[in-house]
Amino acid sequence: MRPMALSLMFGTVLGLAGCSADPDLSTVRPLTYQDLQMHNNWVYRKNNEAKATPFEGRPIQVSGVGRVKAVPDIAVITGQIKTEAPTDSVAVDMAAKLINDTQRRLDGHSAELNFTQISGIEKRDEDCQKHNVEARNRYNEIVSDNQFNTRIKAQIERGINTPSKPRQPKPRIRTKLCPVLNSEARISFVARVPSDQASNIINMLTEAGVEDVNLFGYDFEDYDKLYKEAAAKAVMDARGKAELIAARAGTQLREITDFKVDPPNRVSRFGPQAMIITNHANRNVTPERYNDSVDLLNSGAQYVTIPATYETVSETIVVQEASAELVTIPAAYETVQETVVAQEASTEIVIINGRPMERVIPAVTKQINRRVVKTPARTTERTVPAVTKVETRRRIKTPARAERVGPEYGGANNALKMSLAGNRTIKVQATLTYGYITPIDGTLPKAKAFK
Amino acid sequence: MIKTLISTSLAALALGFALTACEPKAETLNEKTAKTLAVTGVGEIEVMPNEFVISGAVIKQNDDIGEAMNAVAEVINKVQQTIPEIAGLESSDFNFATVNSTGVKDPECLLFNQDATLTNNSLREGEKRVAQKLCKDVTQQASVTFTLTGGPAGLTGSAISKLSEAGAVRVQLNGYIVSNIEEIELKAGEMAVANARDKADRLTAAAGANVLGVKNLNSYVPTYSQRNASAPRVSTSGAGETSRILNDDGKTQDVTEMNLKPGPQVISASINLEFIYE
Repeated sequence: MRPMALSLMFGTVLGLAGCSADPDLSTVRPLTYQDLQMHNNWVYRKNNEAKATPFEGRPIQVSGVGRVKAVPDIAVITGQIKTEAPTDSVAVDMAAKLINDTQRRLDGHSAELNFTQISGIEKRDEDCQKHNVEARNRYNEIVSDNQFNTRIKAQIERGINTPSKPRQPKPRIRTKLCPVLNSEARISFVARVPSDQASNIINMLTEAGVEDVNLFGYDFEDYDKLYKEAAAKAVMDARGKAELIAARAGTQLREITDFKVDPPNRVSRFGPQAMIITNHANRNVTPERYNDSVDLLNSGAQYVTIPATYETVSETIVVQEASAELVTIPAAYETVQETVVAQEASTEIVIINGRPMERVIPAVTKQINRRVVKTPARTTERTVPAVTKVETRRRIKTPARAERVGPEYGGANNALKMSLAGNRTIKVQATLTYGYITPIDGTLPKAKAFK
Repeated sequence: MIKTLISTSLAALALGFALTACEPKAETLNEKTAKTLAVTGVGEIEVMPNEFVISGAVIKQNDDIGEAMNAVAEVINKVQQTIPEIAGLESSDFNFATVNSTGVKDPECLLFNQDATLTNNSLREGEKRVAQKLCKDVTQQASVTFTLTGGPAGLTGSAISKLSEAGAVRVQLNGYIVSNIEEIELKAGEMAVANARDKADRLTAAAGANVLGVKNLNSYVPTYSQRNASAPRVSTSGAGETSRILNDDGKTQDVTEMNLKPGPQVISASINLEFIYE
């Protein structure tokens, strides 16, 4: 009992000494064992409360779209100059003349040019390179057929009934040595021009000899203002949707837990850029890519994937190539009928009326049959025709492709058939995520609900 | 023993009560209950580049490797002499990446060996292996690859023309250098943060709340395209596809000076911030 009393006293004294304010000693009572039990019970309850997982409803996620219409005042045009010559220096000289001429033509048109790529490369025989691609594909087919046939053979050897038949061997295709035919110089550029002059400038560039001229997109001088306006509309649209959902569901929205608004689309506004050379380029930085599937500037143009179509065709497969062989043609015989004289005609003296007279004895002939060589035996070259068989095969009729749907705004030189007078729309999408009040989570403090 | 334990616990309890009673009340943030809002901010800055980076190569072939090296040296010397003479050029710095001399194998022979390898890898029943050939050198090749950093960026075209005129091949514009890129990147980052804060303020205000501060910087991405400057590769291996038999008669060709003025480059940054609000 003594240690316990001592502890209580010591604890109380320590506790009081630790307090900076002057305690009212008349209200202090010594702690009892019951106090300890109460404290332990309180700790137990608190721990259990902490362990109980409160109900949390899944937040509502809504998307809203904001659109602002305006007339674009800048057109972004891309183009490429390509020249070919037997040597690099001649190709670069030709490209230099072309680009200088192009820039001379653009003088006075408020065009801002930005060069994104300039390069000189060797130009090889394209047909030869295509042939080599075919050769490589054939090699892959042969490897695949070998594996397939090995598998089928193993199945047959194990007595497994398989409907597949070994594939016929395909002939190999030899690769060719593709010579360097020319050197090619390329200059790629982006031009930002007044949108009302876009058609004329595209014509001008084409006439100057620029290839792959594209109307890449549009931009606005006051883009930031329009973007903010569209973003605000997008947020309001999303919030309206969330409130509607909450009202229909008989609940109230709480705070926003996540929020995302499309960033300004830099690439569609400025086009491709030249690389920035830095000494820390090995950082994990992904260049922003032009994503054409995005609804740029709300032109409504998007790509849809058209699946490949197939057809079944009958193909004649050569099982054995035509060949030549030497054959011996035996001699041909025929039977001919011949008249042979068995006894020659002769004369004899006979006594007629006592007088000798000469009498002719006619020749005696007979018919015989004889076998004679009509054409002698000979050796000749004969063509053995190819052995073929007809097989049906499923092949791609039209390959899968991405097709633009909606109004056209890109493509080479198509600005001429495009009206540049109309409005363009800046479209921004916002996604908001809200928590909401439910009857079950009524234990939470009263949340500030949106009105 | 039990009594000792009980007495110790009571003493500790008393001490705890006493300390709790006089602990000053400080407002601390409970991370479990704090409300957060994640937003993405973007910033863009247009800048004019200061310098260009061009890369290229000089490749010469000759039966005598010494002659080939001499021809390369002649072009390299000419290049280094003519580039600084470009009117208005303030800086030029050559960096030679590779200097090589190597034998050029018979491309037909290399091609045969390549095909033989393919055939041997896909032999069918009854087919024999194809023996590879020993390919001999048909000529000798010397090559030098380089990068040229110079400024101002408006003289990119002149430099390319001069390099081609001197006999350099595979000349290409690698890109531009913006001298104070780190500073501009930071400014774009600041704009991105301000943009994010603006969004957060407006949203929380709409909800009748206030932003207390930033909890997390989830990601920071400078989104401009960037890379290291690299010189072209010159190789003589691989069935003649990568080696180049130069059509080089050694004659010099005047090259028209290109007028290439770089436009403004856009440096942008995006940042993902998580704000605490009440």
